Amino acid sequence: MSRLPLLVALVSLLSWLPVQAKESSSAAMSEIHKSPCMKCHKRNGTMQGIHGNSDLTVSCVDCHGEKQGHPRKASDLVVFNAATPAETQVKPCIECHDPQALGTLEWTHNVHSNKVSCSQCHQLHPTEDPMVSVTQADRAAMCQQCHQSKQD
Amino acid sequence: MDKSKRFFLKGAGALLAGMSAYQATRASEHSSPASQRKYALLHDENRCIGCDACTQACREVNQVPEGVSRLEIVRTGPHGEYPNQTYHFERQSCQHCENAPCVNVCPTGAAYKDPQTGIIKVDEWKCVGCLYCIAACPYKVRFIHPVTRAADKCDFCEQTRLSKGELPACVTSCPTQALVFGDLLDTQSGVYQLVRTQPVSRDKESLGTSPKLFKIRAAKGEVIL
Ligand code: SF4
Ligand code: SF4
Ligand code: SF4
Repeated sequence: MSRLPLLVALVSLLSWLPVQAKESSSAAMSEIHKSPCMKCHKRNGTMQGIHGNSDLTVSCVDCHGEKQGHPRKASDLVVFNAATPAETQVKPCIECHDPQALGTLEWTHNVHSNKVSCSQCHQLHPTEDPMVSVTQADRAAMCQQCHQSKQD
Repeated sequence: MDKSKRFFLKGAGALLAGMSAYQATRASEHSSPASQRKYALLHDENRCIGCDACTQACREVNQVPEGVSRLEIVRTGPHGEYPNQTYHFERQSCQHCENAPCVNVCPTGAAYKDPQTGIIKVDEWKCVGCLYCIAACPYKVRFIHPVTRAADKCDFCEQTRLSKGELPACVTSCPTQALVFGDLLDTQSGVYQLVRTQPVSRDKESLGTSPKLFKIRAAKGEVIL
């Protein structure tokens, strides 16, 4: 009888392990992928990152805006690329992410605030945001992509 | 006075006499004014973005172990309100004082000013690790190197770069050219021109140390008028 707790612990440990592997494969199955947007945006639309977690109940429109006339007529859909003003791109992000908290975590957030879009460094759709694993040297190199003196 | 102490003092006297003779010959060797240089560095805080490329380059090129550093960029801020916030970046490294307290207190002559270049250097083998210089430096930039066990600090990359005719590592790594290095005695040098024409300042000038690290203060700082 005394072995029962041990057995329970073991079983729960074993059952926990495959969960990790399952998570990414099930990302395609998460709630966000049941959105009508996915009917067309199968390839470019999948949300593998943490924002695809069903518990967050984030939908495509939360960030990209309402569909309106898209795709045939005009719409205010936000496309996260250089063509869209930074302020427009930052707006949906700071709905959830408090700018002050971001600044405390990483000071460079404060100086770029609404001048550089979040998407210029961060990527939400891939499984892992590349910013999570930058080294100190990567970081300095990234600054230089924009901050290069025009002299010389 | 007991005998052993007297012996020691006699020995020290002889040593000092020997040393001063040695220094006199060295000084006369380099007495031709043409070979004299006075290296200085300027940090333009308005150009600095606090990227730390300089501190990383310094560590790599000069093999500075983790835990100690020859160069730091001290960040203060944020100043202002979201979304218009700024930071102030200040360079902290050896100022290569013309009148260097670290040299003045060093009992062995390990801390010295190179008469050729004006660079304040450390003779590792002479350093006994007494920490006098570390206590005396008003800029708090000296440390005991964990590997050599001698005092260490910025030497303007004298060994790693200048000797090869290259600019210091921090200077070449800076993406915004916030750092300007050169000879103050060369009126054509960039650093001379900037020191002459720009509103430069130096830290703790009132102490009479005559530091050779010049700073162009950031227009945006803690005090906003
Ligand atoms: S800054 Fe400090 S270490 Fe450098 S020369 Fe002056 S007193 Fe010496
Ligand atoms: S001059 Fe050389 S030693 Fe001095 S801070 Fe720059 S990189 Fe470091
Ligand atoms: S590399 Fe240049 S811009 Fe970057 S922190 Fe150093 S001095 Fe400032």
